[in-house]
Amino acid sequence: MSQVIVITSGKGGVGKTTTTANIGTALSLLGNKVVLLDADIGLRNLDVVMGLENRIVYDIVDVVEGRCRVKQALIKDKRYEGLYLMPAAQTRDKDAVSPEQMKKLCEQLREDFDYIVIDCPAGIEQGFKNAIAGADRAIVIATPEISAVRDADRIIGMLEAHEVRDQALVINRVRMNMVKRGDMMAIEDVVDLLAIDLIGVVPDDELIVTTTNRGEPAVSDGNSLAGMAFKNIASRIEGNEVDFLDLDKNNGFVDKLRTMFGFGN
Amino acid sequence: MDLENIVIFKGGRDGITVILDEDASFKDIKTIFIQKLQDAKSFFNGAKVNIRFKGKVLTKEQQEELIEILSGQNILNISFIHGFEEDQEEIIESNAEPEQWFSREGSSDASMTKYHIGMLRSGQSIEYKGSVVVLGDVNPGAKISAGGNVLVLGSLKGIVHAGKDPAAHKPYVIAIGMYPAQIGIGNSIARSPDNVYLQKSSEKDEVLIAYLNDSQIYIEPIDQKTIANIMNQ
Repeated sequence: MSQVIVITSGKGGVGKTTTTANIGTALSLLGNKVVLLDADIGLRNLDVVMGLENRIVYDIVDVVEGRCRVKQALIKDKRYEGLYLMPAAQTRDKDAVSPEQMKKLCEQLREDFDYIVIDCPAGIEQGFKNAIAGADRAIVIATPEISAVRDADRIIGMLEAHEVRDQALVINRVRMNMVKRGDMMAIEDVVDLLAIDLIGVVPDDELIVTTTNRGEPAVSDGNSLAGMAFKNIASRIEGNEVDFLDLDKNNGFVDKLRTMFGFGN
Repeated sequence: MDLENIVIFKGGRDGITVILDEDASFKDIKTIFIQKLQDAKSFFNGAKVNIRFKGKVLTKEQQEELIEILSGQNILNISFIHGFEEDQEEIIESNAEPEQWFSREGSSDASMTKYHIGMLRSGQSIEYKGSVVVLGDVNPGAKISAGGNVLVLGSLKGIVHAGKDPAAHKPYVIAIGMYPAQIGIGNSIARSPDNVYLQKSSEKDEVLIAYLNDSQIYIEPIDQKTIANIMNQ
């Protein structure tokens, strides 16, 4: 049974696109057939993050308006078996697609894929409504900042209003040392406020910036702690029980040295 | 298409819903609407009702035309006409009942209560002429406005206003975990102290009551003595 998962957050810049790229890639590494669907029409960048920009011929608007078949717009990622991307259009805006068209497209993709992972645009307007129209479940991304948590709360309310009741939370860009100092919201406080299931905690990781700029998802880098966290999320989506990463450790070379010399916390 | 069914009157708990067919023309709707209203004469028999519309989305002028027909007849005794329903309404309940929930004798016993089961999240709001009970948290960015009292069986972090009805007798707000961004009772408004945004969940929540004394809002732990004091002021 295939699943349509929308990655959303309300607030911009919290890592929706990065999360979509990484979770999608990780799901394909687990042997699934996955399509990443960029619903951020007019501000597309999932293709850039995936390093597939130069292969785009047709996009989602072409499919919806009948200028090409679904299969023609799908870009196969040669690095990962079973991973495909359907890019957004760059020259149009959110009104180019309607929720009904999105639903229909999701149904068509269901026939060929195990997972359809949708990258939702920021905001609560038309683009958001389109992106969630065909979704079975939502993964809500929040960073441990009040503004991001507030927007996530709003989004959860709106998802409920649109009958997307299967929701899970990913807390992104957590800096454990700041949480300890009391300068960043603790994970428990975020979960406490939003009151939905926690499916992953992703540490702030400089490697994400480098891998993103290279057009390679962090999950392909064995050294990335964030990549590991994304892999675990993918595994939890598959229904496996995976322990949460111990983010206190392995924070970096300096921390390792500190622990070695007994300066641990 | 059966013209009869393009306008349906449906009775409900809180009045009559008029369902308009999505595909019918406004001209047909208007004709049938007037006809059905006449037919309903014996049924309604001067009853006092609320009316709301559903179904086909009408233009402002068309809405006004129907409302004019409604107000120009003497079959139904309309007590309130709800606005035309929007696509996705986020206000969970905005109940503009025309009656006075609070008797002018000054007893709060007569108040009606709205129960909301579940959390109230950012951007959601409850507006009610009577009292409001929420079984869940009221998150930052959510809003409750009540004519009477407000009880939150959860953590109150949003904006709350109780006792909006001047006839409400000694209105109060009770919450398990009282951290409202803003709290209003009657004509008084208070706001939370600054810089407490990194609230620790480990702090043990206490059941507190907020009440009005001499236009000042006081917040105290709830116990028999406090309640007695408030009510006997």
